[in-house]
Amino acid sequence: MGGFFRSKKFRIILCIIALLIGMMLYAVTQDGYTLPTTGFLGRILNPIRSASNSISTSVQDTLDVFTKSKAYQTENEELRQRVAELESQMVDYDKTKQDLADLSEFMGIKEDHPDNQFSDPCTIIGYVENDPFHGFYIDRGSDDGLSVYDPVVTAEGLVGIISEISDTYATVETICSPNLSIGAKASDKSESGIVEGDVTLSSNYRCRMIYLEKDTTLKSGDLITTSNSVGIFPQGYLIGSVESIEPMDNGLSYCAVIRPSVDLENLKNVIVIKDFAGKEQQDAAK
Amino acid sequence: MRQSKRKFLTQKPVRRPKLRNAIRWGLYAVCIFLAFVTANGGDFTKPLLLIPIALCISSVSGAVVSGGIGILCGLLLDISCGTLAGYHGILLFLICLAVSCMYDRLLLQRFWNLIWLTAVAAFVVTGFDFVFQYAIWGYHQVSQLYLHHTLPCLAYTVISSMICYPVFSLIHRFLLPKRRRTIEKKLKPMEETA
Repeated sequence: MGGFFRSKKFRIILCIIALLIGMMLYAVTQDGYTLPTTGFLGRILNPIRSASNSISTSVQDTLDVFTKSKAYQTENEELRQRVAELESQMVDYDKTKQDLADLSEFMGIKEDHPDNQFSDPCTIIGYVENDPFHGFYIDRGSDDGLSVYDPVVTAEGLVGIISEISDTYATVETICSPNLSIGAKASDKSESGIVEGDVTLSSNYRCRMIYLEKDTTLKSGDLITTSNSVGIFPQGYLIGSVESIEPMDNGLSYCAVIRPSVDLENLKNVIVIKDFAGKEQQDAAK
Repeated sequence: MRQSKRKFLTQKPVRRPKLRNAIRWGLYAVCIFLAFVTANGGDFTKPLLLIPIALCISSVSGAVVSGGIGILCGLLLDISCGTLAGYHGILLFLICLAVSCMYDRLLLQRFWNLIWLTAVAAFVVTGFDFVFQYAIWGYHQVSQLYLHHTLPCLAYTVISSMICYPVFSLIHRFLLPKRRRTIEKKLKPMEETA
């Protein structure tokens, strides 16, 4: 045994381990940018990942028909009820629509969003293997002008941020991840808090809004948007709607379970906000 | 038993060893490639297929080759899992090296040997993943993550090794030019003296 530790083989093993540790340390210093070799491999493997994901999705969709028939039946009944509710709400639809248009004009949302610089639509080419927080890869990277911490959105609302980037692809961390803290507020109330992912909620594609007062006026169905009070997200993007209000473990405050407005389970395309008003100041603050 | 062992010991060298080796490594490459490609398909818990594959190859390879396979599979695992480049590389390098040494000195090519080795390796890899990716960051109710995410992944990996082993066993049976059964080799002079 002692001979082994003095052998050439053992020295080679030590050298290889040192090389790998060196590589890890180098990767850490890249501040979210992947190593050149990883980026090169990713460039080659992106089409394959994309093909694999589309095959997997189609197989899953086919199998779902057989395995989830009971769930579909239940969902169908729920949807029927929901349609009935929506039909009753349609009566007020035109008035609400007019109100919304007036409010939008009043609050200057249309003037705010032109400041945001969007990327071209990005396609999801695969998912991070066994990520409980549903991270995924998109087919655009730093060559397309994206950078780490850029917010990722769809027309429905906020998806997450870019957590790691290569020349040709980027890794997106979703709002279900506990690593993200998003300054948020209720769209029509003064309530504000922090939206973050939660280990137990992420499996159902939910997140939560924490630091709510005990006498919170939030209720199920209230819409939550980004507030830009903290973090790296532009103001006014829809995060989701309140599903329920629950007390936090410490008993001092409440949290709201948020159902994201974006259907993270069936996401196909996203858009990255490359620049927005106030981003420079936030970068400087980091 | 004695007859079959004698038959094995006296069998002629396989024909075209270089061609068989090339085909064998080609099949290894295909298996690794398929395992990597399937890793990114779909947002659900999947087995870490690269682990049993790396172990199957290491079980019939020398220390240097096993180390290389461990590094390759580890780096591919880093890419598919989005972890720090080299993290899984180090883990699988050491595991494959240990497996190669164990098969060289202690173990025979048996189904259950590979299963328990895969279980141990997957336990180590998923355990380290859990600690470094989730536990040390102090996530709320992190044990739920271990129960509902890490353990299923571990179980799927062990189950997948039950499929990997027969596949690689077939490859080795037909394409492995040189047997590496050290214990049988050691038995040969004993039988001759008897």
